[in-house]
Amino acid sequence: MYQYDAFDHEILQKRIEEFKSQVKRRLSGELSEEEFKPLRLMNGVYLQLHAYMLRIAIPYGTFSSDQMRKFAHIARKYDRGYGHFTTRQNIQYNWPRLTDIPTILEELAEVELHAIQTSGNCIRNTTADQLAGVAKHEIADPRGYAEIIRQWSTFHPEFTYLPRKFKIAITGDTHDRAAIRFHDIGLEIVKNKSQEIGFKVLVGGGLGRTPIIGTVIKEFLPEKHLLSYLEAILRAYNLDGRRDNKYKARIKILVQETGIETYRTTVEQEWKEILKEGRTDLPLNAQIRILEHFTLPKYSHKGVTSYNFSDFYAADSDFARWINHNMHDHKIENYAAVTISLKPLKGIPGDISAEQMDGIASLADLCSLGEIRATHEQNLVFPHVFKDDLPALWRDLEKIGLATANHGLISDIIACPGLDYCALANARSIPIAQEIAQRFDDPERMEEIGELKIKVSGCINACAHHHVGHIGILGVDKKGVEAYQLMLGGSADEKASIGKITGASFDAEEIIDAVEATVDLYLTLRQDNERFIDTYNRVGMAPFKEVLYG
Amino acid sequence: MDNFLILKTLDKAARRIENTEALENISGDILSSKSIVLNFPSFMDGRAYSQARRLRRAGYKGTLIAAGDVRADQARQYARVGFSAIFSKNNFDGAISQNDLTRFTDHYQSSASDEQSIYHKRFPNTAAKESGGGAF
Repeated sequence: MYQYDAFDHEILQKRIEEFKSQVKRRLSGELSEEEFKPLRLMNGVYLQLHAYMLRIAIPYGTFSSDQMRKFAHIARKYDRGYGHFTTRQNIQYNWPRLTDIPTILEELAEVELHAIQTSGNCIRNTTADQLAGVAKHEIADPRGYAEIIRQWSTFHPEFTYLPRKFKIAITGDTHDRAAIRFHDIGLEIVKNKSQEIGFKVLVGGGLGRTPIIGTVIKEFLPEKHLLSYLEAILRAYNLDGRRDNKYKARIKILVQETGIETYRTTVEQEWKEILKEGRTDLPLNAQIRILEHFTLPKYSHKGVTSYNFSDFYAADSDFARWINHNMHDHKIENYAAVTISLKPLKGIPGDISAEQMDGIASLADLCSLGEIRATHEQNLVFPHVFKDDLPALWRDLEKIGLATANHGLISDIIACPGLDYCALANARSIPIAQEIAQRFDDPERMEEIGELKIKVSGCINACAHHHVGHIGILGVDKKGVEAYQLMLGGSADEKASIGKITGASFDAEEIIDAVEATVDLYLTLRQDNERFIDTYNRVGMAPFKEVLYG
Repeated sequence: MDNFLILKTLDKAARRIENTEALENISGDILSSKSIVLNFPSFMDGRAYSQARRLRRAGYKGTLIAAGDVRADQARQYARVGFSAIFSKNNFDGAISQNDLTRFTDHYQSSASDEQSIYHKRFPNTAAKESGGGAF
């Protein structure tokens, strides 16, 4: 993991001092809410439906047990005893008091965490594959590059008032778990014919009101030119992106309206100028120093044969189910990565209590080398578990209610806060997710259905990525009543696609029946081991429409 | 940043450039202007940051003034992209902008007024020209 040096610490301290003085000026009335708003937004402080909300960055989703303990402490001391993991690998607190926020930031800085640029029209936290560094078929660990981007984009003076927010995602694996095709910039680590590392650069993807799949702007960007090329993309966007309409201000609209060829020409021309100056890209030694933080840890059981794992797997069907769904292949033999689902029955997707956070921190120390990942699907991952430790880990997770064996299944639902918390929402999302999970609450039935990604957004801003759910649900306001549109066929991975609306919307009860009817039809239509999305892609919308509206 | 100015009046001869101009090509005429005013119609509209960047890159040496909806808490950003002055008719809190200018000693990007980025300081033997992290 990355460790701050004196420079990183100093910058963070100065930022806290600055924010502290801004809060003081707000509390004394020297700053109006209008003047304070952009200042607080630069530090992840939103004003929600009921209270302020604080969003803390977890850079590229990697964090330590000590950082998790700090999250628990903050939840207990300054919030209502829980926190909420978001779809951008961050954590949010929904009830902090403005007067406490500077102190919270000081506490976070002790463990090298911050809330910088977690909101506002700036470059946000770069997200990454949650299995970065350990995925079996990965080309290279993307996190070092994400850290390079984090540093470069931190307080970037030119790119703090962009037309709109700007999100970058990076993966080092061809199987895309980071939804890079739906980000303002998507980076995929690739190798050229000479086996040199570089990036395939995608631009202009996004969800929200206008879902668009990102387009390749550069097939192979040499590793050393990462920052100069990003700077060129950002500068062209800052100057040319639309500012007349908030809903047309993301880079995706610029790319669509200009056309990728013209936009590419503008970017390449600017890039040449930046290269001529030769001062943006990191010198090799600086790059190496950052990447070195992400070399593989020392695995003490490397090469040790696993015994207990397979015996326990054969003996306990509940454990076997958890392994089947939540365990992932690992680079190192006899090691595994496991998803810790934050989608227990009746829970709120992504929510976790302070006690559970402490439990996770202790378990991470015991069996994941103290390292944890947050996923964009609102779950957690232990990336370094020796297989023989899995049975004990599973039992301990069960004790704190976090052994739900549903990763990738129908109850592993992404949901935004919705009308329960959010001022923008048209409808509630969390209760819909809970109802669906309840309806399918039979492990065998869930297993029979197999991989099925459901995503529930409470408004068209699409915070829960409903467009790319195999089944997507969108809350709308139908003459003052909450209603839900159903979408089918979306996918956020390397076979990116945007879901299509089935037809007229449903009310809060009907939507649960509609999901069930959709799933039941899939089970009758599927061939062999087809996943829902495969069956949908083969048969199309018509039979589903028939069963829903026929 | 020692010479950063907060102006209460504006030289009528100063050249105004609208923020809709991307300044991809900059004429000699512009480069020889004594002072140039770039506009922030709203503080949220950050186009002039990139314009300033391009003007300085092209070799503009005169006074570069940020005008419009400029704010004290943004002084550091104006200075770091190459502005040398802010013009505001509002009662501008000079103490706050001064504070903003001097608060951070180190940056992840090098700038027009601060040639050494953190990357350069991490590796003192690296030539300034190769300091990296974003140049101004």
